[in-house]
Amino acid sequence: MERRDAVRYLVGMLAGAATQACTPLRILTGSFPADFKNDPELVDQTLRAFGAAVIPGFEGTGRASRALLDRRFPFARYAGFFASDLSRRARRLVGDARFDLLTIAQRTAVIADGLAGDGTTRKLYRGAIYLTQLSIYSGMYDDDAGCAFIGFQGRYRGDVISYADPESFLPAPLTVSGNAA
Amino acid sequence: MTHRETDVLIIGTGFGAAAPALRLAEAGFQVTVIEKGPHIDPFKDFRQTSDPHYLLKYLKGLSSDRLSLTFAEALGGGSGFYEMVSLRAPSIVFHQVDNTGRRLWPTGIDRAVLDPYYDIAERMLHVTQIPPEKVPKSGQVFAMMMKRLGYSCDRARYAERGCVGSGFCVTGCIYAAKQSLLLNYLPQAVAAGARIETDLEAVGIIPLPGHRYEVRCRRGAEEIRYRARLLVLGGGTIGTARLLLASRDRMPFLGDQVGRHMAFNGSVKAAALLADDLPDGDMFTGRTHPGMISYEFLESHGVTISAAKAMPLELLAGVRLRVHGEKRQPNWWGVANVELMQLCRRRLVALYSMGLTPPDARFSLGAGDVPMLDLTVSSELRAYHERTQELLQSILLRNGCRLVDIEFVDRSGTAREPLGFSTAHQVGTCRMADSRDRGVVNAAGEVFDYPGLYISDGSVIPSSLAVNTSLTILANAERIAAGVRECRSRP
Repeated sequence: MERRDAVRYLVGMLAGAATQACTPLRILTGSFPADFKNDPELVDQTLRAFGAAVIPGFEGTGRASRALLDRRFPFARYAGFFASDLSRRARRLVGDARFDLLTIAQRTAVIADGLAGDGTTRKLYRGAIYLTQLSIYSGMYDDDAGCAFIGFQGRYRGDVISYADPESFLPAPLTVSGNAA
Repeated sequence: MTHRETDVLIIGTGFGAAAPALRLAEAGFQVTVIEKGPHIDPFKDFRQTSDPHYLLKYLKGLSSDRLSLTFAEALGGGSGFYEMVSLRAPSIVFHQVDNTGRRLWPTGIDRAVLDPYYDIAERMLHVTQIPPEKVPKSGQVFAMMMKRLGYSCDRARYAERGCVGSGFCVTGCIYAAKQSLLLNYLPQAVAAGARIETDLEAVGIIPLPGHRYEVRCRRGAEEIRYRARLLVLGGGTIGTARLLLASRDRMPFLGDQVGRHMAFNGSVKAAALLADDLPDGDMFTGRTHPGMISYEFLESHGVTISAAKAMPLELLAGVRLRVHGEKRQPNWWGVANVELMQLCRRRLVALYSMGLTPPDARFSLGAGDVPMLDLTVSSELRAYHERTQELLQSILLRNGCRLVDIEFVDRSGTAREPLGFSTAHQVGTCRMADSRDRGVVNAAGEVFDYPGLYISDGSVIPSSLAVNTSLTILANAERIAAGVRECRSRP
């Protein structure tokens, strides 16, 4: 091998290795399995399974993927990569690339592994958890429904807001009117 | 490009702008008011929602690692989205001094001077003390906790007529019960002849000969230039400082005080799960500010204390909550977090303080005019934070509550600095002062060395107030407007 070819080969090897190891590069270069670029259903299933692990017991996990795929949030640009990363870690940790088929405990371990990753990976995983929690707990896609899972009623429907014996709760005031002197 | 003339140009439509708009229009001036944000119809446009896209249409943020600010850009400024708490700044506020012992407020401005203007503002906004039967459950439980410890607690005052306690104050009141400026000052100003333009941003001020001013404004690609005999800046603590800094090249006498001395009401928070012998609260329903405030520690610690609620619910996602000492991992998501979230509505109590922290934050424009915040945490501020957090936790612990750790995160879900402050009560970037080496405007609100250029918003308030800032900003704006009316002749 000539010196020039050897250098070219070495540069190619290093670039490939760097791309595999470095999350920002993999995102930039779109270096993740084609399944997660071409199969929206696979991405959706994976993200729903992610939501079910972030908020165990919540039954409407179909809603969990909605915010992560909502193009009004920047995260949607990374959703495919994120789903593939869950799959990659699932294969490495549990030996099964189908993240959505893992138990909640296994998924939790996979997510924890991502949260212990490099800076960009950590940011991606934290962002996904944050957005999942935000969208589900706040009921942001349905003003009427709220989130029954945490007792949030959504739009106000005439709930009783005070206890019936208000004076018994109140200590002596310091002011006459509510304004400090 | 379009050129327009007006007697008075007022920039902004919030608490600092609405009073001069009304009073100067009533006095017969030709008044034009411009607002960067969108028009809002208070009878149609508000929603009871947690949709962040709705909120972000009107509410903006600016953060540094230590300080996080929220402010509104919409017709009515923050008034459409505030908690409607309307309290006068305690007298002690006006006696604060800086680290050289000089009073922060200019000579002659104190509570007694502001009281007549507070009276006017309260009448306009229908401010009344909440009756006992309307204090929401979270406020009742907080009051009971203070009572058990022998502390005082007062029913707070609100700008409302017919509040039902829906809990959606900060997304805009769909019942038009909350007295935003959209229901009083602004329509009255229009009735008196003022003209309001929305979606129009002021981007630069050019002083003209004869103490007149030209303001470059932008609406999309359209440029409009207004010329005015009187220019009143009321775009808020951030908006006004930003406009002046962006105009600095054309305003050589402006001095170096713009953006400095921002005060932020030193808000400290603590949360806990209620002790078993305390009744349920309600983090979701009832006024966003749950009715009660304690002045018990104002003299001793420089703070007032209230209970806090979790509306809109984004606030819950914006913090990582975990029961103190929680051993399970993960503790801010997964099973442990779900268990806590399911207790949140009824059994979580959150306290927050507002305090007389020094005006140590700074707003500036970086390269490309990017807005920047800076807060250097002094040993004094660090001590304040620790002391106040201990106080709040002590109230919770002595009531038998179990502490819940709070970790604030940014929009990417990344944790913020533990010693940080978040607020919507920023004031003071163009503070009133006795001289141009200490501030931007004199006690009358007129910019030093720029006759006819006034500032009437929160940016002129020189100190933290330890209570919500809206009523004081409005009262001070009424005072400044009265002064302008008195000393400026009508055309």
